[in-house]
Amino acid sequence: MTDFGRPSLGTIALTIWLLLCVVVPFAGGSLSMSLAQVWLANALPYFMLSLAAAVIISCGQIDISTGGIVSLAGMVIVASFNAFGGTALGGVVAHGLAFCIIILIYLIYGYAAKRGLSTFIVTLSLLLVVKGSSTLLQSCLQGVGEICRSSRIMSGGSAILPDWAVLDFVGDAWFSILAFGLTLAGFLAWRHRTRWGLDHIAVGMDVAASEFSRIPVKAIYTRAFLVAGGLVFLATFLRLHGPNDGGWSANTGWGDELLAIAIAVIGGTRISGGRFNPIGILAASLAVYISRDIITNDLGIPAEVASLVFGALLFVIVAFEMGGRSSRGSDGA
Amino acid sequence: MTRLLSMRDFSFSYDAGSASGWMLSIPDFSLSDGEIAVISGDNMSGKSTLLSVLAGLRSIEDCGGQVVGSLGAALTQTDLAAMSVILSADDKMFPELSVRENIAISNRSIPFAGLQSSMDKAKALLDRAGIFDDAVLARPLGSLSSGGRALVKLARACVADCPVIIVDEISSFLDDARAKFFLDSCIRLVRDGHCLVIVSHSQRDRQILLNEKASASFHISRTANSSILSRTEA
Repeated sequence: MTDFGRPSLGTIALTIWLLLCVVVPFAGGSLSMSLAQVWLANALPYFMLSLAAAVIISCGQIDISTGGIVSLAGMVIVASFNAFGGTALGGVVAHGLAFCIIILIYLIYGYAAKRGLSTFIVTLSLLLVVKGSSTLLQSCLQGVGEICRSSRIMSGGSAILPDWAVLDFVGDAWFSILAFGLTLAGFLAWRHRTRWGLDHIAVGMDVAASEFSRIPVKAIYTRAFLVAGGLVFLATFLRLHGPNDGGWSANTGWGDELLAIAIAVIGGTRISGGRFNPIGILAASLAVYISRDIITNDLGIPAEVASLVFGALLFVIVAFEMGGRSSRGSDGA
Repeated sequence: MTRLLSMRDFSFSYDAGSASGWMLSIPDFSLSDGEIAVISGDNMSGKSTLLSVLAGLRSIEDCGGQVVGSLGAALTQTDLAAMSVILSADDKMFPELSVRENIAISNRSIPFAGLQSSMDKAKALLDRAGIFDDAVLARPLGSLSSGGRALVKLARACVADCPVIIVDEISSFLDDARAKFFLDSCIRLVRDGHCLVIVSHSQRDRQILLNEKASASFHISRTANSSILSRTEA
């Protein structure tokens, strides 16, 4: 139902940024197929998390807990796996449990949004809860800390999956490309070919007008949070079984919520809602991940300075994108 | 004619019991298919409140009396929302979305993939207005004038295909020719079996609508803390 307009200034800037991400390492002689494969595999979980952030932001809500939830979900999977002796049944239970925890958390967010509560405050509260839970779980797994020192069940466990549970194909280029492609196609179809996608964007634009148009606003919020929950689970799964090689620590994922929101905004998601662009988010995920890698590894900038440089770069890009939007007005959601 | 809804000794109030409270009383009001109810009233008398109650945009749980449907059962806010489409004087649409999307969003009963025939119907209506180019459906709604957007609202009402069409003072945005086109289109919808509830202060509009056989005139008059809806002579 959507008519695609001409590319915006932000889209052009993002494309140039992405091209630079390829040209700079190519010029420096470090670009190779194996490096590209690593980039794709590592950027995929960020793409999922950024899509989760964008789905929520585009309907007018916010979630600042995704990183903490990734941390807890991964720790739950690893801990449950170990508790079941690393068996296949344990794997199924571990993933099922993590999925249920994520969905429960996102149902709480959906309920809060339906009741008109501030999802910023609710997600902030649960961010602290899930971070604390993840840390507690890790200390119990290692049999340390005040609470778990005497634990006989968890003591001696390690925050790592058995070798057989590490899925090597998750790091393969074909898998990453397939996952990027299918996810992108699914979200493009959802946004532009379904009533749900149109309703979702409309709610983000104007809640009162949505109610006049008979859009089930509360149901849209619930669905958005559930979709985001599914994406956060996928991001955790991919990260744990792929780039992390089955290893996990309580602080894995911490801070990713802000990165996911930044990628979503750079990718064309309007922070006040009503705009969602999966292609832009894909490009932004790749550009942001690859840039971080280049800043840290190719340019040799020390880690403590890299974050500063990267933050400044993000600020300039977002400011440029916002400026471009206000000058061009509407470009279709 | 089939009676779609009726309200007898119905009342809606804000801050009931307080000094600043206000109550709208509706002693006897009903709507049937093929019928036009033309409503006038003083400023601040509660016309928009009445329309929003009929449109299912306000809770009626705490109201006095009931809204009764065609089968004699009490209607809920959800029932009222499902059976009506409201064309508001405020835009209450989505300026960033295209005209096509704004129209599509109003049709809740047809699967999204099957909307093409509705779009053809909407396009034919907009073409008859004589002011739009062929690409109107693809244009952002915000690029149209107030009058253009009023006609898009009419197209939304045609596509929505709800039994009750509620219009809140829209023709004032339109020039004489387009206002006549708007009213004629509304009358055509009524003849096709819809019911029209319209608030209008325009004597010309009221005259055109009240010339129809199945039409009735209502007025809401306000005193200090209450308003009352009563039937008047056309």
